[in-house]
Amino acid sequence: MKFGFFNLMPWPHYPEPPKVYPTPNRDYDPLVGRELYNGYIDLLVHAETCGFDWVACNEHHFSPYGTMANCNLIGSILARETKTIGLAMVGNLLPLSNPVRVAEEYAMIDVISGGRLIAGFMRGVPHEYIAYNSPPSESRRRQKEAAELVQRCWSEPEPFGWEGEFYQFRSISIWPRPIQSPPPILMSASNVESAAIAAESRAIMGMGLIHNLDVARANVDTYYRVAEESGWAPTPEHILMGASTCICETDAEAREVFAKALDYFHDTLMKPTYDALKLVARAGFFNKQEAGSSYDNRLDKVASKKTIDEMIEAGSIFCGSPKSVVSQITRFKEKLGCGAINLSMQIGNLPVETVRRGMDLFREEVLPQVKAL
Amino acid sequence: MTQTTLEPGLKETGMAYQTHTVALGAREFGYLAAGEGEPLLVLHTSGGPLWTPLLEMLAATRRVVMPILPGFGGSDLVEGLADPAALAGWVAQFKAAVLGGEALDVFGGSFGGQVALHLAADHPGLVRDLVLEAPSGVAVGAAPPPPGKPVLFAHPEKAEGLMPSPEIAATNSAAFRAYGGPALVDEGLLAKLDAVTMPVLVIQGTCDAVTPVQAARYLAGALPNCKMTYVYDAGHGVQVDQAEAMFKVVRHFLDKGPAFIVADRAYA
Repeated sequence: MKFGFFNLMPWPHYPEPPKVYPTPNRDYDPLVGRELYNGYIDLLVHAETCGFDWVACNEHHFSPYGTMANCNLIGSILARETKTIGLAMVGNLLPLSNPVRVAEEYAMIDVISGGRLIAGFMRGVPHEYIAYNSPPSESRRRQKEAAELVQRCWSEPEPFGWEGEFYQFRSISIWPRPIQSPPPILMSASNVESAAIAAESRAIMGMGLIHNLDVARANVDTYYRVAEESGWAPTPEHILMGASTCICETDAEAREVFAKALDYFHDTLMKPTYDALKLVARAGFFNKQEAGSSYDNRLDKVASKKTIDEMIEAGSIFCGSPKSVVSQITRFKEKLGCGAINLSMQIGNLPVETVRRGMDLFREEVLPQVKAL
Repeated sequence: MTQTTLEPGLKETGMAYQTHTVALGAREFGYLAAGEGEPLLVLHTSGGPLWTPLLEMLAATRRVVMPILPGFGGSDLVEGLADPAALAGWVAQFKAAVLGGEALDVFGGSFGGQVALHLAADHPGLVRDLVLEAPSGVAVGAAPPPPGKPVLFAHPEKAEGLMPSPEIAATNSAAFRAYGGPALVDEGLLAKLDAVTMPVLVIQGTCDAVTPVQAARYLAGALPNCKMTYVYDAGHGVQVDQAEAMFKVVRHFLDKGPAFIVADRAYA
């Protein structure tokens, strides 16, 4: 089993649930932000010494939910400050970006790091489409075209032009080219439609915000089936599952600190996401037909108040002492058949030091028990 | 003298084109023409002289002239014309008779692209700018396409009403074979590509299942003044699958030459 350490760099000090979308940034204190960025980056660097196989960063806009507007900026720091760990950018929102710029920045990270990039081709959640003024109804078509263009940027031996539905470039020749040819690609497989696209694209399937292990397993089954139809055979390491994770010395301590952090996560950090989703739906987008099978549904289920035990049972979180987390990870792996798990450990307003202690416990007492799974 | 017979599928719709004949030696040959302005010589594919949406758009600002290559569109072959190089020689005669001696822009699709490259190599003074759509004969290093009937279009519904009758299609195929087609690599052509120094734009559909992408890459690498451009979501017949996207870049290239890579809202 391979493990990743994921930090979405939340803002932990928002005074109350945001009332409007987007969240006014008057409550962002840049000096506090400076400390936070450095603390979060220190944790990502620390992940290498904790035995994680990769560190993961992502992209969000206009929200205290995550303060990485461009994960490649963090990725380039990690490319220098780490030596061997994989760098999973999960990742750039292709439909909202210039695909040529994505290809260039990813190639830079791959070259600087000596070929350690895992390239996330993400589509983004609805509120990002409001932020970047892009019609949500175009997202799948943009994603498909952009993904093909990024890969051409990496692989074409001659300068080439691109005349597409959304992107036009007259002559592309990126410098640098990536070391890996090509870097491994990761795509979201949060619903069966996305799982099928990831399989057709021969990408690692990534899934987080799990609310039900059987539903998640159905996505895995779809991924395997479509991959076989597309003429290739994924390995378990192509199945990446994410879960929010809190490891403390005892179950009681973990449950106490995690419950508070999750309240902040759901009530405050996720509030702009819910508000934006309602606006997108009100604008006539993101109905069931357009959104695919499960996003809104899934969000509701993740959001609905559950006990820690219910969330462990559902596969949404790992929480407890090292011994308990070992047993939860073992069950998770048995249910999903995944060969890779992303541990999202910087949840809500958890202090950096609590997360660091959890990482150390992971290295000392969890990883030795689950590595061979 | 042989009277050229236009295939039934060639209806004069949309941007009206006229059919004409010209005498070359002892025989008359047909050609299609439309529009006014700078001339553009079009060499059609092995599918015959199809008046495509792209040609219709180009004819809005140019005089588009498309000879019916001997053997295609229901016409007879010419004795002694048995390969693309010889056919290019015939095209040079046609051009002199119909369009005069000045250099002009040339567009060739697939087999017509291969003939256009021969024309440019053997008569470089005749060709100003050259546009090639998925040209045959230059796919150096490519595996042969899988056997069976090739899939020409990503959006076959756009070709409805364009394609010739089965009888004409059969004679087109016979003519194509008479000229040595299909050819993955035309060694004679490769040997003389050094002479192709004019600006060249090669168009390649991202879904092309007939001309391997190595063709465009080879030309982009081998010719001194060549750009290749992918047209997204297009098969072999780019001018049918994505006529508008192809038109924008082709018009820009024909108007500005190598400077077509400089963004200009007039061509966006």
